Amino acid sequence: MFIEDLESLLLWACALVFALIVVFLMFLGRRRVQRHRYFMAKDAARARYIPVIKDAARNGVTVGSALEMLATGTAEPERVAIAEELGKHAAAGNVQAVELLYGLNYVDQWARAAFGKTVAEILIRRSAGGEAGDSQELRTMHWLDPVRKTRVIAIPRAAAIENLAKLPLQRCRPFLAEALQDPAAMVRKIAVSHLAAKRDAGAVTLLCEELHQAVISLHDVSLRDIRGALAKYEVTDLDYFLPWLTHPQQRVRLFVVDTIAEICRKHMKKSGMPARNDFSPALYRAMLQQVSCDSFADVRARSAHIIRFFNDGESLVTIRSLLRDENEFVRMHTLRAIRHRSFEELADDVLERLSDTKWRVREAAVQTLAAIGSVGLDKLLKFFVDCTDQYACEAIADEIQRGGYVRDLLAAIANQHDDAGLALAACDKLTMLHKTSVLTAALATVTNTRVQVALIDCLSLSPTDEFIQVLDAIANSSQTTASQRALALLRAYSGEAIPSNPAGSA
Amino acid sequence: MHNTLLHVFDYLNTVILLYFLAANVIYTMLMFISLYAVSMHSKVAAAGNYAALLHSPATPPVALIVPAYNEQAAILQTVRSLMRLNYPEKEIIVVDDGSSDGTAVRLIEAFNLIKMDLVYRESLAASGPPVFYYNPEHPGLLLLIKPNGGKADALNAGINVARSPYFCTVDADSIIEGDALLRLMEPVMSSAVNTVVSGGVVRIANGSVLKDGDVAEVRLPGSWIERCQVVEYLRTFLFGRPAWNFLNATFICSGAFCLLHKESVVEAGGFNPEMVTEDIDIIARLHHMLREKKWNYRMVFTTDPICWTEAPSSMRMLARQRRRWQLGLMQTVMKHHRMLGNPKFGWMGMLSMPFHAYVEAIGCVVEAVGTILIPFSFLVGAMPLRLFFLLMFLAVGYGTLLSIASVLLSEITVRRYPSFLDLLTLVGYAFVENFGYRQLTTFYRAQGVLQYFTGRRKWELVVHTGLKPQETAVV
Repeated sequence: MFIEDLESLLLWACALVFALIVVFLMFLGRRRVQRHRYFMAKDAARARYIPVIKDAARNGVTVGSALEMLATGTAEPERVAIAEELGKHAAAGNVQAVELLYGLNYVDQWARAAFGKTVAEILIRRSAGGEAGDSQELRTMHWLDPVRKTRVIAIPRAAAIENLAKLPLQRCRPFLAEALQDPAAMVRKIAVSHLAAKRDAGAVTLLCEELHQAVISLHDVSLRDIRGALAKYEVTDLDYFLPWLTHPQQRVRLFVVDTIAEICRKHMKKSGMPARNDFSPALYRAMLQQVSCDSFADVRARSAHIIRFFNDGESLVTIRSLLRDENEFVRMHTLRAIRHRSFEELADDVLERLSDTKWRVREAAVQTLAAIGSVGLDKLLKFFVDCTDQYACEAIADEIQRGGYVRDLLAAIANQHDDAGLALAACDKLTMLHKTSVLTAALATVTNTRVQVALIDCLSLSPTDEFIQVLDAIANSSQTTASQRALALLRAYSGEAIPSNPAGSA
Repeated sequence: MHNTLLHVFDYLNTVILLYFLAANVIYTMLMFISLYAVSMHSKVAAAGNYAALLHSPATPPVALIVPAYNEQAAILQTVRSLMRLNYPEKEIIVVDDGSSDGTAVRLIEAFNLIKMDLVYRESLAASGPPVFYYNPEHPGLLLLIKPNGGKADALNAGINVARSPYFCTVDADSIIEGDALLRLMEPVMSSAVNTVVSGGVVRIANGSVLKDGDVAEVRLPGSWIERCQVVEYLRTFLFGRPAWNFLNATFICSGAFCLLHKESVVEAGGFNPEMVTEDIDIIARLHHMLREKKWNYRMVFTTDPICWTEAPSSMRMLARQRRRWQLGLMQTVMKHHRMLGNPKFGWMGMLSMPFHAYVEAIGCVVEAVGTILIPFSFLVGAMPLRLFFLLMFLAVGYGTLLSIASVLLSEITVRRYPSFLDLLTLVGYAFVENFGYRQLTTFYRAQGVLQYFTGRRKWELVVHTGLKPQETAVV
């Protein structure tokens, strides 16, 4: 009886499994075929409608006649192709394309998908009239929020918002502002990103409020997303952020200052270093008088990345005081901020930080000195030669190797520059610290006899197996002063008496 | 005597059948959850604006750590593919773990690396100290040469020199897709809580067309063993893991391509050289540590960041690989047995961990016994012919169903097999792999379990021949 029951159960299980296999296979085949057909139809629609849209965009045909022609595209791939092309033109600010998006009911369709029929109607009215309105008053049915948060329901809304964001700022602002009230993070994230990308002055308040919510962990849009969005503003928009520099929540102040610094950095990459005149007097004063003295150390630390661009007497005084701040991260960030040739004037202040009690600050000071030009490098090498602190020496030796400065040292020796003595002393110091690998590698490849001799003398202070191998190769090469020196040293080593300083190196 | 034997067979068969029933119910649930999760993620990923991430100042720097042991055939291709990755700030750290071949020499020559005596701060224990090779003209690349200590040890050495807040482990025989690192970082960026692990998919590159260190065209390999592995990899990466991720109970992220939060890993003590699969162990340890500290965290697995790897093309290497994986899984579940059924660990303790322990780890032994016992029961007359055939049909049918579901999942993701013939072949292999291949891998996995219990816990080396960059397919 049991066996019969089991057999019947297994039979049903087999039938179910094979039915599922057939369903999956059919779905697989159908998906392939459908995708193929969809893209074929979309390509055909593009070929048919793009010329019409281009004509309409440059006023070649009236919006009315373009509407008539485009209205024939009713199938899904056709509507998608038309929307994509119109979206491109609308995003570039083309008025005809915007009119066509309204005329073909795309805006209506997207708004309904994003907000439902009732709210969509109000928002479309506001959008057409360029009104701002209050988003809060439209919020209804909160009890549905847990359902509306699920991805399967949120994705079409997110796609609709993405499409609505193609409209010019005045037209899409009501939609994006309303989308900030959406329960799903993915929808709000898109709204945040587009509001910032359009650099709307009014949106800064909304976005910074989002930032505040994220900081106090009240919602699920990530801080990184909001920060990344805010950084889309330009240097000319920085005054919008002024009220937020004095926000009572310290982490909001930190992220706002950080965002301003990022905007400046972005400007620097794109159009060169921003000058003092690029900043308003209000922001200038706020940075020097408030932000650089903020009670939160992280805010003070980030302020240096903005103050560096002011580059005048007053800002240098502030930077000097930040370099002596009680907090190590403020000192470290300030050092990182001034890692540029234009801060040669601060070389002595940076040099002071090489003796800092914190290794992170010392490391930053080394890198800054090396980066602020020949004056900085010169001071760094002098400090290195006389330095007795093991950790500071290690940090400088690291920078000399990683930064490729050994090449500069060898060039100074080869050309008998004024700083050749300093270069030789630095090489000796590297050897004394047992940082000989780079020098040995240089000795193996360099062809200048003066440099060869100098390196042999220097490396003989602490001979390694690799050095002896290189010496052997040099000794066996053509007769030069270097090969004679190498030979003499090899003979001395084989006599088991390794000279401490055979050539009386500097 | 005969009757007693039949009773024993009955009893054993019932246990095996109940085991299969329970396992397959879970597999079916995972299948439907994965179908939902993957299709939703694909819709989001299709509209994903990765260029924005590339230019966002909030995108954190990442250190790509490549542990390499005797990888001279693949290392240059891997490093070049990493250098080409679209990512704003990255450092590539290759750790030569005492290779006896020309792994390091190839890198030194190709990038003119110079030996340097750099500072090495050991925040995690690793054999060494390493020798550094660096070229200021390639500031993003650092080579470390250290005495052999195993993959975990090499990863720890890499973490010690990494400067970025996140690091990504990359196998030396892998090719990472151009925007895969950005895609891997996307869930980290968009998460409101600290995301400590982000894993991607590993796919088999054998047979695909490679050009300039990238997979130019996805194709199927030529040999049956590699094709079966393609189906198996699809099942592994697209089937179970998205479902566990959906339940926030990720237990495995492949070390071939996995992004981790450095500070959390250092706090958890880094990778454990005692474990043969250090990638599984670190996930379990992170769960352990973070749950105990009651930190809000997330571990994610996404299906669109793709890493291409070379699959073993011989039975010998396949056997070694599967034994090692199983041994590692056994070590991890036994070491972290405290999480089993522990409600403190949420879905992880209540469902994911028991599933991985009883189905994925020990299950292969039951499966191996069943593979032998059920036909044997039929032969000794303990099972009627009809029942025997029905069971066989069901086993093959269900195996095929899971594999076809995986092929369907791959069809939903961004990197599908473009050729219709390849798709049909995959479907064919979803059926064919049930005859021989599955039984063989079950047998190798059971060997891995035995190795664990017999205390033979050594790392079995899988030798790779290297993927050849060329215009035509590698077959």
